[in-house]
Amino acid sequence: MRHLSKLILACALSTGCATAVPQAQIDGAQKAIASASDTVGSMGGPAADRLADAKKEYDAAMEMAKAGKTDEASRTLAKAEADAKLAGALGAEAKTKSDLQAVTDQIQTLKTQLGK
Amino acid sequence: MTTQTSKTLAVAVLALAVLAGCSTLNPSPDLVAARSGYAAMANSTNPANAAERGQAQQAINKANAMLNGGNEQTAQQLAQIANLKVQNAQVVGDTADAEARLVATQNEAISIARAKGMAAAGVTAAASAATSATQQQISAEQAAIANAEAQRQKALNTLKLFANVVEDKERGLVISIGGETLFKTNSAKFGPSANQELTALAVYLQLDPRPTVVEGHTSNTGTPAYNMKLSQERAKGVMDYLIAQGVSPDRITSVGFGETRPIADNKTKAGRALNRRVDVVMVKAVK
Repeated sequence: MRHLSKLILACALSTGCATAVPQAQIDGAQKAIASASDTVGSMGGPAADRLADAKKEYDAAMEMAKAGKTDEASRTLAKAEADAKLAGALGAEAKTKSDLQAVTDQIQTLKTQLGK
Repeated sequence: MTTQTSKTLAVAVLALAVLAGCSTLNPSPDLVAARSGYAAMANSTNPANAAERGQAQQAINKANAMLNGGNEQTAQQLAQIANLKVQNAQVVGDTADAEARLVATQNEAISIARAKGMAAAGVTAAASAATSATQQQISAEQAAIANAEAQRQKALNTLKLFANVVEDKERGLVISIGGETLFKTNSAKFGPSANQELTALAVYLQLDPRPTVVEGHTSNTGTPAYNMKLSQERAKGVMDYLIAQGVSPDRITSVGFGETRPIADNKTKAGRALNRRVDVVMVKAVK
């Protein structure tokens, strides 16, 4: 009976270990943050704010994981990844719109010159 | 009506009541926004954001299921994620549209430049090429800076798996590792798991060039003189290891404080464990 109790305890402990935050999820969030950092660069505005949120959430998730709050850590990591992806998308959008504005301005200049 | 039929009816009524109770949970503003945003693009056939739309729909389904299951707090977190994914799909779709407009506008600019004649077009092209080269150089520099920062952040995240890392306003970045993690009991010799942790520490120090002080601390178990000597030997041991791993000896020093700087109550076992530590302080730059 005592052996059985030990066996049950060992199973419970090993199940606890198995519920750690998956490394793939941590890697996914890190990758999204790194990619967004490349895109956002030195931009300010909503993209930079989102990226800052993502980094804070990632740090908080790591603390939760260390404290054994696996489910909460996992959801916070998912939010960090979603924030990072939105930051990257906002950065790409801002750059495309800026390029579009520059070419539009160039056309306006050319049209003015043609009219002279 | 038989007794059996009455029981079945009662169970059915109870089940309906429970379901009705679940459905009374109100969706959070995030979930309402996510549903509304997704509905606005549900019929889109834009291939540019098809994957993002799919991810947004899945996230909304998860939040809906959690809400129906009655777990309001978790549903709220999932709703926030769903709302972010809907916004991401919208932005990716908008960016694709803007890119298409950019190509069309560039073609228009080329046509107008041709109409102005080859000389004018040449001037425009030269100016455009010069601007492009400058932008490429700036982009490359920004990418290098961002890459270095990403590597530093990644190394810091690895450290956080076993060390307590705090940005102290007065001292700078303080990386605190438990003494039991690094050393054998009552000894300055490293324990079996120290190698992995000190290597991660060395990797981080090579990506963060600030001057560094390795501080040794103990609990109040033992005599003050013994604790002072032990903390000095442990701090020096960590410093020597980091230098052997490639950290420049010009930027690193070690100091032992013995039991003089506790961070927790020495009256409890847990407090004493916290006090037995090595603090690696990345000194804040003096402005």
